[in-house]
Amino acid sequence: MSPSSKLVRDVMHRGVIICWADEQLIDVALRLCEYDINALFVLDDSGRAVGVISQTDLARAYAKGNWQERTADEIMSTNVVTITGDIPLDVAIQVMLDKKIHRLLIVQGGRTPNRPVGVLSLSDIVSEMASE
Amino acid sequence: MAATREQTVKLVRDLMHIGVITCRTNTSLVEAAAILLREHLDSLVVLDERGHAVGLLGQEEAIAAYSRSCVITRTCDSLTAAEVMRPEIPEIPPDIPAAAAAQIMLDQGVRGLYLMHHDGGISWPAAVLRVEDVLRHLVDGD
Repeated sequence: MSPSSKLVRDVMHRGVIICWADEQLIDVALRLCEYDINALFVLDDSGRAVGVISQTDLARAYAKGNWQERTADEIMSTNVVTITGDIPLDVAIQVMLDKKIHRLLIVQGGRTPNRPVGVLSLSDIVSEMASE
Repeated sequence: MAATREQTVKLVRDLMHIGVITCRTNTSLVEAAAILLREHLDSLVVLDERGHAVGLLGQEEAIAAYSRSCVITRTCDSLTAAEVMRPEIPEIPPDIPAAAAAQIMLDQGVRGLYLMHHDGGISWPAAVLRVEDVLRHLVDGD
């Protein structure tokens, strides 16, 4: 089945691993290791997704030094791209390739708009490829 | 004092993994995707029939080819690693600090660096340092 005949919700994984904007980086690193994931989303006090922290962001902080003294909001990427699950998968893939991002935050539409419900990552798409 | 500092600085060789997962140039894209998934990898080193490393097949290249070929030409079943890989394999020596390696990853925009062996006109990957290894080092705090 080609990506044009599937929707994001058919391939994404449900549930979003998060941290808070003021969390220390050691706790962020521990969570990435605990869940064996490449990145997590950063929420502010109101529960809004305001950033993403990836393993690469932590490596950048490590290379600069004094990473233990810093918090999530100091190193996160603020380029959070959200879509809904009813978007065609091939459109979502093109968004990721065009914007050079490795994951999209999937939010719910309807009565509770913008509530995070899942993530579409490169690994989810590779998994879809491998299942063909 | 200098000796103490040298003892605490982690080098690439302290964190890297011996042994690298590879695929062949004629491995199909779907098969390569299955290997990436099974081994939890971001990329595979591609070897030719002599065992010479000729490129790197990453998740991004695989997905771009998958998307392009399936949607436009409907030929994704016939794509091979050789057609999708990029020809550069990012190398690193084992005796530099891990923090410097992290910076090299960032500069080159890659998530893994390879220690390559070269002999008789053939190059092959002996070990790899991945961004996950750097993260694990941060968490372990050693």
